[in-house]
Amino acid sequence: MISTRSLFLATKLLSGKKHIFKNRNILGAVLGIGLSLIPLIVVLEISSGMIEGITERYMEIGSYHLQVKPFFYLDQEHQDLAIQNIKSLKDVKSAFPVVNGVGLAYSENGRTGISFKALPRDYLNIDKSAAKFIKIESGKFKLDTNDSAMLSSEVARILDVVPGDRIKILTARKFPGRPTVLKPSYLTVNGIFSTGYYELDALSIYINIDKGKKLFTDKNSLIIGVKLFNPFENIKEKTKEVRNILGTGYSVFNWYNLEQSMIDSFNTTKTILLFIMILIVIVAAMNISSAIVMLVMEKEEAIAMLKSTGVSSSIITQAFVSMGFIIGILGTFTGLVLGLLAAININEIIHLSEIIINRFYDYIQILFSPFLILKERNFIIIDTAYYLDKIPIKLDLNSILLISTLTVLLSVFAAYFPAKRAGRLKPMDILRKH
Amino acid sequence: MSNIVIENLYKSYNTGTEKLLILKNLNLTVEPNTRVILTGSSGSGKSTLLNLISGMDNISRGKILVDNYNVHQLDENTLSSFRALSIGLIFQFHYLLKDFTALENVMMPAYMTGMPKAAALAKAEELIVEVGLEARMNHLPSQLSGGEKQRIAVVRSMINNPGIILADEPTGNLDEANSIKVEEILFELVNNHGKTLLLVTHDNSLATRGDRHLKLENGILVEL
Repeated sequence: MISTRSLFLATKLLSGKKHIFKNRNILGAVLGIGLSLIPLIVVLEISSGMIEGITERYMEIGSYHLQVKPFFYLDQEHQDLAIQNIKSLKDVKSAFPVVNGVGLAYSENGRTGISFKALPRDYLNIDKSAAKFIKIESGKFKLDTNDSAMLSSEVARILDVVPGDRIKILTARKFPGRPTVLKPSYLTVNGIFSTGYYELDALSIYINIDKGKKLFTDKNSLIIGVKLFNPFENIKEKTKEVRNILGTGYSVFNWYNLEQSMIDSFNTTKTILLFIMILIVIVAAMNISSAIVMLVMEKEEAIAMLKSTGVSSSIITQAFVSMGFIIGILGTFTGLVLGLLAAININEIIHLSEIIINRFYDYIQILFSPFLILKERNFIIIDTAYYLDKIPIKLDLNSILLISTLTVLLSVFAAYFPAKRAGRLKPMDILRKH
Repeated sequence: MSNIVIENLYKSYNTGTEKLLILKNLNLTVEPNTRVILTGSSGSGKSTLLNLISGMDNISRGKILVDNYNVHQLDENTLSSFRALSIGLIFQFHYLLKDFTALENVMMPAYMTGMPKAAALAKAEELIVEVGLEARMNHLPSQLSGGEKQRIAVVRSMINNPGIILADEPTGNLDEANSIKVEEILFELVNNHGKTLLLVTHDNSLATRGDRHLKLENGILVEL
């Protein structure tokens, strides 16, 4: 569709003294494409980073790569045998018991419902990939005794406790044929941690595995968490291998089964956001049409001259389509550079915006203080307490390539109709006019 | 060898209120390698005749054959090829592409119609040297004098080696000294390269330089 001849003609017509960035229409079209791509790139990079950040945390700390659930109460002997069998598989990095349960926690200053996770005392050594996401905010990660507890920062905040403090917990215990009994226990806070994601932190308390087994005796409470060397590759086959080696009596779930609805919901949100952003790019690409219409008018004389020397309509059309292509490339490049810069520095941009807004708010308050009394306020754009502690960025090169190609194609499409019109111009009509 | 045959040609324009008959039953045969000078008063239809021969304008009735091409029966693409390869056009105004250098202006018709870029540049360079403008080759039209621009326009018309050159008052915008220079170059090139020339002019003194002198009067062609 675009030949080297037409590209040469296009670059020559565009690169004249008055053109490219001195021509307002072309500059407008390039900036239009560039600016419309910025939010698209930022949304793409941030949403990919957020989805990856949240998914990784859920995989490493929440659901693990694989989860083995026994159909019966797993005693120590069966637990050790199952873990030994699972570890014998070449794709398995580690396997460990986990007891899950719920209860209530009390301190002198507060109380809250909590979600217990009982882990081996050397958990952070066994599962190094989980250790990556567990940030110790105070104290030490210690689950060595039966009364050891690690509190998430949110639970510590609600209970208003620090390492060394004691807390009371209440857990429910069921006995066949008898009413449920509430059992009080005391734990010592050894440390306070954060995973960086509010949903995972909100009500979490980590306790020692032996204590967990005593508190939660239900057969469904104990699971085996499995970590793989590569959880993204052939996950179905790896799940099957674990199922096969354990035989009957166990069900095995992988992270994708367990988190599928959450991942799908994130991806749907991402797709809707991208669709809206693509509409903005489409509107911006239409600017190219008007830029080419203006360019055709400016270059009428040249078109007439070229056609009078035998240059065909198709070469003229191709040359103006090439201009759309060049504008598209320049706009896409501008958008990519600015979009990536904005995405990479999004945390700083948000922080700076918050400072500016809050300063402006203070300034208004000072300026109109005798007449207007505003509430004291600290404006926060994104409260990181409820999302990841830092907005992560993921450079999704395939998507960037796809968006760039789509933008350039849209630019070419937008240029086609005025370019076709340029090709149809009659040289005599133009020469008479001039 | 390129010739022009015009048979029973009529050309009229609708001005809105009346029909203006410019050319009336015009017949003409121009043999190859002939230099024809066409004179006539303003508005007599001289330029119109050249535009009809080049296919730039539409005829009302009749037939124009150039190199056996029935010009007004050609489709869009063939008409472009015909204009590129069979005729060279020179206008009163140079119509050089202002963002292109002199060299690029000359090479464009060749390059755009299929000649490889290097060959088109070499050919353009050769022609520019022939008219003594080698020092101005890489200058933009805005950096050239009126006479130089028109000399570039003359060589541009020859880049595709057409058999016929149609020149519409090529010196009409130039002072006397430059007019003489451009005329010299035009006739020299036409002679050297063996072209058929149809030159429209107001200057009767040029008539002596042609093999034939024709005059258009009231839409009718008269051989002088």
